[in-house]
Amino acid sequence: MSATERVIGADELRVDGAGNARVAVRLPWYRSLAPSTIEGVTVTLDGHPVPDEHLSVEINGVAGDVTSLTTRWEETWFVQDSAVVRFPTPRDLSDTTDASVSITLRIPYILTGPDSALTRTTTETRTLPVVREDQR
Amino acid sequence: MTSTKYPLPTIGSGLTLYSLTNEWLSGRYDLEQVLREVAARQIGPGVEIVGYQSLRSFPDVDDATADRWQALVEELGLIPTCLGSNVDTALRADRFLNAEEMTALLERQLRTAKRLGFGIVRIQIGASSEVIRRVTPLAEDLGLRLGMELHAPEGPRTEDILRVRDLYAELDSPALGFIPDFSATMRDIPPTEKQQWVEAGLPAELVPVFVQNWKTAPGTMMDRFQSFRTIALEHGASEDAIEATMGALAMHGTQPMDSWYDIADQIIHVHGKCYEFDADGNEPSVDYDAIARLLVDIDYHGWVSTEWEGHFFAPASVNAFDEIAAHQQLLARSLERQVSARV
Repeated sequence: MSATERVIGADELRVDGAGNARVAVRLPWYRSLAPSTIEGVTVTLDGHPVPDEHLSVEINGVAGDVTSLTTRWEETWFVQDSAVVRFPTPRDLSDTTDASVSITLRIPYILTGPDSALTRTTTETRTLPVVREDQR
Repeated sequence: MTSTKYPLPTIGSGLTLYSLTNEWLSGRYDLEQVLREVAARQIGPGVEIVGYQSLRSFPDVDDATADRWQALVEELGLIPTCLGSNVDTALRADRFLNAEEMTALLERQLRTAKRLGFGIVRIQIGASSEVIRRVTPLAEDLGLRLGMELHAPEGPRTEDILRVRDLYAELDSPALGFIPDFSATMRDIPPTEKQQWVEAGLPAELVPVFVQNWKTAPGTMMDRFQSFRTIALEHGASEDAIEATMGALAMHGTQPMDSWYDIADQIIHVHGKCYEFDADGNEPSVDYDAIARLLVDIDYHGWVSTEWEGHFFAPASVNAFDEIAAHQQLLARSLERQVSARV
């Protein structure tokens, strides 16, 4: 698997004392892009998708829902930096989870029509240990 | 320009750091560390970068970063050659940037190139005529040259590039030129890529069918994909297995090698595209004998940036630094044969 196909940027899913999970997400492309080029992020745990409205994406220290990224076009998500995706943990999460994270990017310099550009969805699925911070 | 690597003093050796994409994305190196490694392995001295890959603050650069870069390349004996700009027309989610906005974004990239000591800025096919027209005066003022990259599936004779050649003729600026990328004129699909299609479920007997279709089927990239798809479905291939081949039509082109001669006087920089090497050190998919002949025939004066792109399919065990060195050895041998044949 090449580096531009990796999405999950950590070897664990961390859950804080309030039950909120977070996972590091990489930019699966060879160069930095503006947050505005992110067209979608999905997280699925053990086959159950986390509802879009529960996902928060933090890039450059600023967090918001996926829709809030669309206006951030004058900013750069540096290709070596990870985003942090947060969401409330499902109640029945066990000690490991089959996590699948997808990100859809608009490649802003590869144009496919008079008002459209190439989009690329990259998905990575891995079994991750669930690390509960309140139990440490 | 001096290069200890190639037998012609007019052709300089070097690399684009894009060749090191996997190492870079892994976070194992920062910019200083990667430049030190390039110098230690003697795969320069020319260094090309993609601005949006190598520089955190791109399209801008602050004085402290620029000063550190200048001091470092000087210390290491490296020479900044070409800065890859990007024409991010679809940057905004709601609409394309207009020509004025796109020009302004490109002008920031030109000023950064100048500040870091690059003489050439790579531009892309997405740059409209209007944007090229608007940005050329700044390039002239800064003493920079703009090279449009000719990358697969384009080539010197494809429709979109003929339009750019007409525009260049009209603008008649010494700042405008082209950067051949030999992905445009390949002789085969890299062997590892073909093997991965079979592993993804493409019947092995369809691989030569794909290659033949890639070389000879008429029409656009999409036309050629559809014509292969029709044949492959008849042979029982799955849609997923067929889909896996599609990227090759965008990444690899079959324009004639001869076509480079059409733009010989406008070649200001070269991307030495390569993917993998056989046991004899040859590149099965890119004809470096023909490339060496071209460079000598046209009396090319400039840099060849080794652009190893095997990183998108190579297993983790493949070391990009070694592949870059292998490319430079191959080009040196190929140029040597051309030079000695002409004495």
